[in-house]
Amino acid sequence: MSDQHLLEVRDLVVRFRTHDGAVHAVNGVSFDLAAGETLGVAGESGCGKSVTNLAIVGLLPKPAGRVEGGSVKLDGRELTTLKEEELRQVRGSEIAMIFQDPMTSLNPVLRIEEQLIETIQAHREVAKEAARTRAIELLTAVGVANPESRLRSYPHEFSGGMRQRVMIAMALALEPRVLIADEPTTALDVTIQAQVLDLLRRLTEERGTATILVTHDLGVLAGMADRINVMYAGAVIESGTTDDLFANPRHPYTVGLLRSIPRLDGETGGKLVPIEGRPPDLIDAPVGCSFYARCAWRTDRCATETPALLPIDGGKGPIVTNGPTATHVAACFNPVAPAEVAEGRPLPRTGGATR
Amino acid sequence: MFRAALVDPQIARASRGLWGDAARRLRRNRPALVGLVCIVLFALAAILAPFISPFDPYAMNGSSLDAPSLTHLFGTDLLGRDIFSRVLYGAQISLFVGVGAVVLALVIGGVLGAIAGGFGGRIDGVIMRLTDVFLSIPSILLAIGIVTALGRGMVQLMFAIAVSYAPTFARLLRGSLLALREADYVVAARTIGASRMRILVRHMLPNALTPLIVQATLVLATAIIDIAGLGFLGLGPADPRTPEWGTMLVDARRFMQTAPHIVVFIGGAIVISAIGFNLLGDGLRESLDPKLKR
Amino acid sequence: MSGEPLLTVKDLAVRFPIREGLVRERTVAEVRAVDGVSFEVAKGEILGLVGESGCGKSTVARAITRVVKPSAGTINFDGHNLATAEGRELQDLRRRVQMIFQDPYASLNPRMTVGAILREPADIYNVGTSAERTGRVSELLELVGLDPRFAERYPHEFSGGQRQRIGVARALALNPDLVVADEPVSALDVSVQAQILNLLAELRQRLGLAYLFIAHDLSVVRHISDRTAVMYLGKIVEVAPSAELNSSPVHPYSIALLSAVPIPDPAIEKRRKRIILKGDVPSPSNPPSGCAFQTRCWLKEKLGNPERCNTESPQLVQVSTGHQVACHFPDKA
Repeated sequence: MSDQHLLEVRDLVVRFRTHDGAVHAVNGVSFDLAAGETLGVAGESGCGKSVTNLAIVGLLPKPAGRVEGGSVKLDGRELTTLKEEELRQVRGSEIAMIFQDPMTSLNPVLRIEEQLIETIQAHREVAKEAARTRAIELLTAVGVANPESRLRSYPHEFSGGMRQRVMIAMALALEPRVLIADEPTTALDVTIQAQVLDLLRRLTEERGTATILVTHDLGVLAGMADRINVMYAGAVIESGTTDDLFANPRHPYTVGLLRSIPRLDGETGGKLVPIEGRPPDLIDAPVGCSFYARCAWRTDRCATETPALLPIDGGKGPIVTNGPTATHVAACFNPVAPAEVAEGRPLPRTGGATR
Repeated sequence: MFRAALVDPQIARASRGLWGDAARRLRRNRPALVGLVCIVLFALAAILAPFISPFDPYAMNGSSLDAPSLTHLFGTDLLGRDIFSRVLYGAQISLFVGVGAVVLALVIGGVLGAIAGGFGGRIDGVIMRLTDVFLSIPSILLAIGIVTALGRGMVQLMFAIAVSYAPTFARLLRGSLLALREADYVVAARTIGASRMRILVRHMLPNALTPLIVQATLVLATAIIDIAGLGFLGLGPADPRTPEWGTMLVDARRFMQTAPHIVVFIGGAIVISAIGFNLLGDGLRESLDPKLKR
Repeated sequence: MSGEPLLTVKDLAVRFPIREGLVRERTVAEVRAVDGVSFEVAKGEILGLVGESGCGKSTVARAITRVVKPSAGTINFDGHNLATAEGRELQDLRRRVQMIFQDPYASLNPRMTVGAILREPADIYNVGTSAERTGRVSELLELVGLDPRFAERYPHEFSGGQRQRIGVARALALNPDLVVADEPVSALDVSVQAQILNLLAELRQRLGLAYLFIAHDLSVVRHISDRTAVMYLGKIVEVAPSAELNSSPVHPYSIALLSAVPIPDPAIEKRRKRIILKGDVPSPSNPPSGCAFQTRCWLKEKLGNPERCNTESPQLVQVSTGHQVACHFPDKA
């Protein structure tokens, strides 16, 4: 493993100013991403997963949103202090993004051709003809039939799935090293989702693109991600390789997420174990564990002390932050025991105080 | 709040109605507050005019075209009447005619819009073609025509302005109602078995009123300018001595060179009241929309 | 099928005309949103209806709740034809068939308090005294797990999950026999989805309700429904007991759909073989000839494009008890 990661995020803090006070959207998020790796980010709406990504590429809504701490380094180069002009160069050529709704990212009054060529020419000095050839190549690569004639179409003439393919083509136009896909298939039907995920997997593998895949769907992550960060209330609360995380989830929230969704291969009619209550309001500084209010494993300590992200086996060795041997870490004082995972609730423990 | 676990904060907190919420948001909207201050000044001037004006607005109280002084805050006009008192009484006329005209326009336009949007079909077509006809005539021309036909007078003025704005309100309400027809809660009311009238009155109208309130506030600003404009064109109140802002402006215009302060004070009064309603209207638009809530 | 049928839908069709013309409008084409659908729901049963966007499943919901009027077919509800009922008869039937909506933010009138929303059904049908109606509001709120004190509040003061509970309470206000739930959890966060699914399952047990449960998420439908019907382009292509549909689907579309649903288990995901369907769903205003699925069918391709798929529309036929499928080659998949 190289000492330098492709993308290094450290203690990122993002706040939003609103009429009601500062929203603590991201509260000290750290992670690393290596080339060719797919990092999954799971969490529900408002957990800070999208805001983290917007902060990485400097697209926070201004002036409300601000990075108030931490660093984002791409190949050792600090991104949070870059000027808008430099950031624009980074976006697209080094880090590309795909969003949930492709319609909002495509200009409805321009033909696909103009948008693709413009993207290519904005970052590379190439002749229009060469850019056009490249555009056709890209559309072919993402599986758009008759790319030459489709180039002349407007975004509304494409179906949702096709639009997302065009977005992927646009994102990959400049061979970025990092691709951030924020809920790329949430708006799509499941058979179309399968098409798009298949495409995404193939293209990023072929090109060795490091990918951050954000989704609320744990099933999608199980099939796509190498590692997963589970986020809650603006912080990563558990992280590990996909295999570790699914086989041995330790944070009560992760367990809750897994137990609350019906599985296609599960038993029918069984009772789901929902997470009671709702996510906290992120106004006001957090005190104690952010999951405290909804947690079945909580103790008094959780109300006042904020747990740190530590190795689940209590190991003292160095924490591996990426790759297939990444250390499984969780931010919890009373991690869920393996026997409790299947139940989705705490079992009486000997000598331990559970509630 | 992160800690509030033991007492559900939702139960502990008192309910805020929709209006309470809107008021809270409005208080944080600086331009709207400025607008509100302008309107309060304007309304106070109108209501308190009989008590606070230092002089009778119709009587000669000084020499002709006095400069502003402590006795005559805004100076005097050609006939030696106190301009400050006249501006205060002018506010009364603008407020009375403006509010009257907008309320009348709301009633006419509201009824037509509710019928068109609530019931649709042929009646909708007829009403909409009718509003098309009215909307194709510039509103000031329409008002001039009506005043010319009905003769000069405050009530005529009010009616003329009301007629020229009613079609706008009708269209606006109809549009909101049409959009609401497919709203889930309207569909829900249908599946429960609510009658058409009940759906219109309980579910559609209350939700269609917000844009109407906003528009009414904005139209009040234009109405005040229209009243002055018609007065300026000699179509104001029947009695030429009436302290109506537009009429006063005509007289003042002749002394632009020698006594420019008169135009400034009268114009200022018109501008402040119009801007006040404009700012408030914009503020209301933002604060009354529950969808814009964080 | 368990028990006697409460709802029997036969050859239901809903077509929306596309009109053109400036002065005199004429119908130039029509969208066949629902194109000959038949199914039954027994008393106390949950029938799941799955399909992708535009397959007509929501239109089925709207036809049964009579938000839209069916173009053809019958909807027999407890001896009455809901498809043609009008006036008094329709009003009486509406009480017994209620609906839960997808978007908890759009389905509650923002200008009414929760209490007024839940009281309205009783107001309309003049049930009980005023005090009884108020009592019923508290009862309904408790039934869906909300504090009765919430009656004074407005919808915008609630979270999505809580609003959906209010929507459920409204549907239950008139003690219906059948609840049509149109994507009741798809707008909710996953942790909240489970709360609502559990609530719906529990209410069915307690009140003996039957549901027509419509969703695009197969895992959710399979979890809650006794039987599942799969829709594609306005038609039902397969119906089976939920467990059986999952373990042994027959229609090539059902097979592809099931294979596309991600399973939250990396070990299984690695082993699974996905059938990736080509292209998009055809437009319901211009459906393909023959079998509706033939333009994307992998089985048709595998069988060497038999002519029959292009010319003949397959009917639902029984392949085993309670398991019907509309495919010309049900034994080949």
